[in-house]
Amino acid sequence: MRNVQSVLATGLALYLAMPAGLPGANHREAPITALDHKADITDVYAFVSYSGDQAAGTQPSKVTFILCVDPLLEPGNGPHYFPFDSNILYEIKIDNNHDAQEDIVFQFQFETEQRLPGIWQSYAGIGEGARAPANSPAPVQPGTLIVPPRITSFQSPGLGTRQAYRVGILKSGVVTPMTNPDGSPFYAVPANVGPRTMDYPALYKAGTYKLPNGVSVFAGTVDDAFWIDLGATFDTANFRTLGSGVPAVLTDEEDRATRNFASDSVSGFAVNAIAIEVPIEMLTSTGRREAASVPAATIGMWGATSRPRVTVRVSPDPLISDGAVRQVQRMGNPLVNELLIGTGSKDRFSMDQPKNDSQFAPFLLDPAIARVINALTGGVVAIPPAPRTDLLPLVTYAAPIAAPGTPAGPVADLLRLNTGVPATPLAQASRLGLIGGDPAGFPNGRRLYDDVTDIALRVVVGGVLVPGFNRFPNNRLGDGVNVDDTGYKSEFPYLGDCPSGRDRRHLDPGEPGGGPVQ
Amino acid sequence: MLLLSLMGVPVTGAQPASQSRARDDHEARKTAVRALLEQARYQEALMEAVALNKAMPDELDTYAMLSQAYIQLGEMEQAERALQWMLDLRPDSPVSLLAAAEYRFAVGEYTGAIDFYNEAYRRTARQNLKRRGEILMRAVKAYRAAGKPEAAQSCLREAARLKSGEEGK
Repeated sequence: MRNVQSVLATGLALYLAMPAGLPGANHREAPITALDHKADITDVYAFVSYSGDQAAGTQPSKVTFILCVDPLLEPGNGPHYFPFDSNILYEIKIDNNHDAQEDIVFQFQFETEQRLPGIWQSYAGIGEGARAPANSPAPVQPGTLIVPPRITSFQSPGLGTRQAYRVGILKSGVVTPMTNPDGSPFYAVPANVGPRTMDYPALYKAGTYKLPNGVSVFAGTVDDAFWIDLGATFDTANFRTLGSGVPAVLTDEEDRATRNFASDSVSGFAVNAIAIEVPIEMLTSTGRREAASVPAATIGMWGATSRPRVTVRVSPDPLISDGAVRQVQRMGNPLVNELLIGTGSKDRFSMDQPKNDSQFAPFLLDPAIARVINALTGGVVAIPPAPRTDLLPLVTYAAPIAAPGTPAGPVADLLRLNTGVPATPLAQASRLGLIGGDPAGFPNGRRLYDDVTDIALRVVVGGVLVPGFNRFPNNRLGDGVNVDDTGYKSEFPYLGDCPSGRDRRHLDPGEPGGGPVQ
Repeated sequence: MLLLSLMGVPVTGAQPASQSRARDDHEARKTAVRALLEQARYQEALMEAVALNKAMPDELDTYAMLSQAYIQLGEMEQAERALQWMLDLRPDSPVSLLAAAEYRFAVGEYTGAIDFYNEAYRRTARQNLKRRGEILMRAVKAYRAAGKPEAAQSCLREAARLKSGEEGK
């Protein structure tokens, strides 16, 4: 292994060159990411791009991928908010020949510029700017600009911390950079500090880049698109008791509703997101758009964050990082590492490659969460016997996502998407995706509005794909949180605006909109 | 084995047969592997360590056991793979760094071993005089093998100083 033999040794030689006695410095689903928030992937999404007025049956032309990192960002948490980590390589990986190995990789790396080193916060602005009044003490002359104008663009002087990023496509070992036609940088949209300081929507719009090759890119701090009763879920599945009187079981009315009956723990929080929209021709192994019935139409994707293996920190010098990277985390399907993988294996899962996931098959094919809920409900929620081969479509290329004849490939946690399935018009889409009769929803890819918590509860715990198990209460399992608190846009990058740091609101249990405490 | 002792893994003598029956007890199984390593029963130790690693792949101790067994069996590529996982999982851990040092020493890369010993030393709490002293003693061996007797002597003096501090506690 190259790193044990050379790279690390080189790095350590750097350490050893230092004078002795200098101090050596250095959503949270795995121990390693609980300690490394910036590299923590919260969610990945992949879906056929759509528009707000999408007609049924519109042939797919592009796919949108979204990688969210750095969980539960409190929008008011200044003064420096949430820049991307310039020391992390963010990647969206695509397998297009069904071997669970990357064939195409979209890479993102950030650079940070401090433009207001003399003031105490990263962003400052108001209207046309604030000037020193007539009684301004010397040496500041009256009329001197004290506070810069409201931030409305990436050139605004009040944008103290400005992040640019590079995008590359790695294919066949060659990285091809993507750039704006005029060579100008891509800028990341900052957190929405508040209405006085910045025009966040203007920055969001300016930070959405459409390139001549049909690719669009976006990076920035946005509303956390996920929703879940996080507190109840991880209080040993202590879900709220709603209309049915049985915890985690919804009534038909609650199931149909497009509102929430329990607290969305993620409400009012932000997340850092990277999005890229790509023509399908750039993704498939054939270089063509393929019909859903063709095996080549189905791709697999996952997101990954990596850090350099060697980082040297010597106060007061800037840190030095170089050489090969080590993966910190990866994610394909939602909730796999959170709810399925055992704690003693989570870091290895995070850092290993999907093609090696057969080592985790026992977790995937006999999920502990199913047995826990079976036990907690005293058997009211009956579960199918192991091995749970009904879950194979989540971890192999299989129907109903992939076309007949598609090689299953190894067991691997990839988010699989049949790029030939048209996007469902928003008015007809189901939050329950495939099990809700919506062929363009999770687990055929994942859209922002797919309720993966309820889907996972029904599929993984309730076993509704197993004959005889698609019945009450298994097919009404849910946490009572059906929709995101903010809502999404109907065009790329689809993500909702970051809540205002000044005015954000978290909906807690027991308060209006937060559902019951019990 | 000394390596495991250095890593803070208690090593006991040969285990009674009753312990091997405690298959559901992870710690007992680890103890059994340590005993097998101590008895130079490397193939058996390897098989057990592989099973332990499969059961809890986030645990550093089992990678150390794996690497030690592999080294003794001459399967250096496998040893290296286990060590790389340790370093990737916990790059700052003295356990990982010590295991890497032992590997480098075993393959005759003494300068690299010294690098890792030094780093493990730096990453071990200053209050842990005993452990720091033990690491220095290992480093002494590596310095000598690397043809650096003065550095070895200096290391030895520091180890003695730490030992006297430990005894004065």
